[in-house]
Amino acid sequence: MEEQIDFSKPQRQPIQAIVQALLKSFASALKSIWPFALAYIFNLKSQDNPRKNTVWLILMLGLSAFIVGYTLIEFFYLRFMIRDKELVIKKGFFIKRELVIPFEKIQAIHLDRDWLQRLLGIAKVSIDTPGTTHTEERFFLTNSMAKALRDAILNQPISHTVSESAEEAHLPVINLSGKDLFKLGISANFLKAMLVLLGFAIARADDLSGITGKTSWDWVEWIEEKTAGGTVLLIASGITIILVVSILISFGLVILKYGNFSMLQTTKGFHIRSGLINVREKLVPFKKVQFISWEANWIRRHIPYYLFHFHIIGDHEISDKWRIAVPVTRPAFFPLLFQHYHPELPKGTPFLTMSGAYVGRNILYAAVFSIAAILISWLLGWEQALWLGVIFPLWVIRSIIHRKNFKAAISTEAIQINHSIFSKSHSLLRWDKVVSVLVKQNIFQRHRRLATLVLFTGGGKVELPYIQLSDANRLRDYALYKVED
Amino acid sequence: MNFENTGISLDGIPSAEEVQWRPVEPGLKKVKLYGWAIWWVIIFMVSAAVMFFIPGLMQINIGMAVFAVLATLCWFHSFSIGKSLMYKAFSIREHDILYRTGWIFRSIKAIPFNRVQHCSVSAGVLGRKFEVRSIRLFTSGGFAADVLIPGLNPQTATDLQEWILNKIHQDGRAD
Repeated sequence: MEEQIDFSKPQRQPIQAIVQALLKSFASALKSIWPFALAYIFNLKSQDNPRKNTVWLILMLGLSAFIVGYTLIEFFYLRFMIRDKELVIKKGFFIKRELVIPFEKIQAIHLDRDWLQRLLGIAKVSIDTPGTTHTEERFFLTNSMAKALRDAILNQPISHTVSESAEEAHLPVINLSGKDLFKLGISANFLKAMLVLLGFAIARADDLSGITGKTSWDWVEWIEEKTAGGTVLLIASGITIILVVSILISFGLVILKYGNFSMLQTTKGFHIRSGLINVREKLVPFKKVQFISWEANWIRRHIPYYLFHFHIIGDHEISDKWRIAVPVTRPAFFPLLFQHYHPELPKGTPFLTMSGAYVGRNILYAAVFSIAAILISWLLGWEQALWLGVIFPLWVIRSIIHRKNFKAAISTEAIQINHSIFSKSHSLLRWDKVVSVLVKQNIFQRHRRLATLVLFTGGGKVELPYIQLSDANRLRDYALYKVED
Repeated sequence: MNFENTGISLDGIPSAEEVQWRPVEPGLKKVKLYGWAIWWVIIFMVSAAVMFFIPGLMQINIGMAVFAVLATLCWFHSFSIGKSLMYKAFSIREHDILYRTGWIFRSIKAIPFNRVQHCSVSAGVLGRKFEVRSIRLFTSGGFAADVLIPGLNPQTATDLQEWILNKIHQDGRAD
């Protein structure tokens, strides 16, 4: 089936997208007013001040009406078109705005479809542009229209024909099997999920303190009281339950994120699609990749499973939520991912390491920080403040491991940084992708003729800390030579 | 796949250590000092107000101690501004621009002209009064990768901006 769309004429968002726009506005408004709404419900039960309740109700209804009105006006006043190799977006009723994005400045076009968008037959289109004047424009289109716009920008004919069979030309690079997905889920960093869960619980407990009358600290004391008379078995069971819940949550999140994962190769780049319910699609043009990195957490590094990242222009300015990593579940995937950028530097490539002064500086920082923490806690009346002394050896051990495992392999065309503490990370940067270079020194480094070298790219930075000043200067000169040559 | 991994020869590569540094204009010191003086006056006034309104703090010894701490910080701050300006300098080469800054934390940033997206010249109220301008070179790497050179003579800033823009256009045509 083919559909003809003339993008040289102004186009607007499809009418079904208004559901999505309204829901998004309500969700953001609810995030701000939900404690007040809860307070209203509790006041309603007590019936002690009906006049106050009416004021609250009017305020909430007024706010909702304003949100609906504003969203509708903004929705209907958004238009876009393609004019002379430029994407023109006109929007706004109260403040009119015309945005002109030349095609060559567009770094990436993302098409995302969550469950509701799939139900409505629409996709969210996000346009990335580079630099500090970075603007990520987002609007909703029907699936066919979104694909047509993406192809029109990438292929450039203004009147474009959409063919459903267009993707047949794409070559599959990576597909995850059920076993891969299971192993990926079970090896997720559940400790991180546990900390996020605890952080969320503390924040919500504090938000509700006005209603419950208890802060997060009061809840901790309550648990302490309840478990004081408990047996070791009871405490162990509690810890086991928390661990199991954390593992299940992190497992579920990974399945939701990487379910239905596929990576296809086109003539211009990789087309990545991921997500079980919220589907995210990303086009990674080969030419726009600034540097690549791959990492494994403390569980996955033993399997070994890696998450591979393409850092494209503007990537460092978007949140982690919008980034898509490629799960590397088999070593055979690596050459496919490296082929359009640069191969991994082989073992035996000359490398630089961090100076031993890095550990010396960390011993100093750890001592100052530990003593300050103990003193402050003791002055605040915490009797077991000395326990904080454990920070010192942990900090020092961490810096020793970091220094020992840090290696910057250097070749004529690229630099590869390998480092690990608990997790394992690698970054590979081609010299010609550097946009600026910084050599910096603190007092500690100046006395020992050391420096930190920072190589900036359009997709983020790569840092070599505590290397010899002469090496930092030579690498800076070489990077400039490669970029300017 | 053929992969070559030849050693790097650094002979003949121009070194950024051997450049002629051009210091920033002395007017920048006045801009910085006057600008911060306003903030320090506000800090002193807020401290005095806090001592006046909070019962128990309105004592001569506490007042003297707070004044001494703030005055020392203020003096150190103005001293550090003077010291850091002594190190601030820039250098323009055929293919790149270098900017040196910092007193305690020193750094040298280099941006090749073929990586500059655009550049802008700006001046605040004090900058206009004391005849100094700032030039900012934007790259695709965002705020951290850009370079901001303050304390330029207005004519130098405008000439530099024009020269850099011409350079960008020339490089664009060469591509």
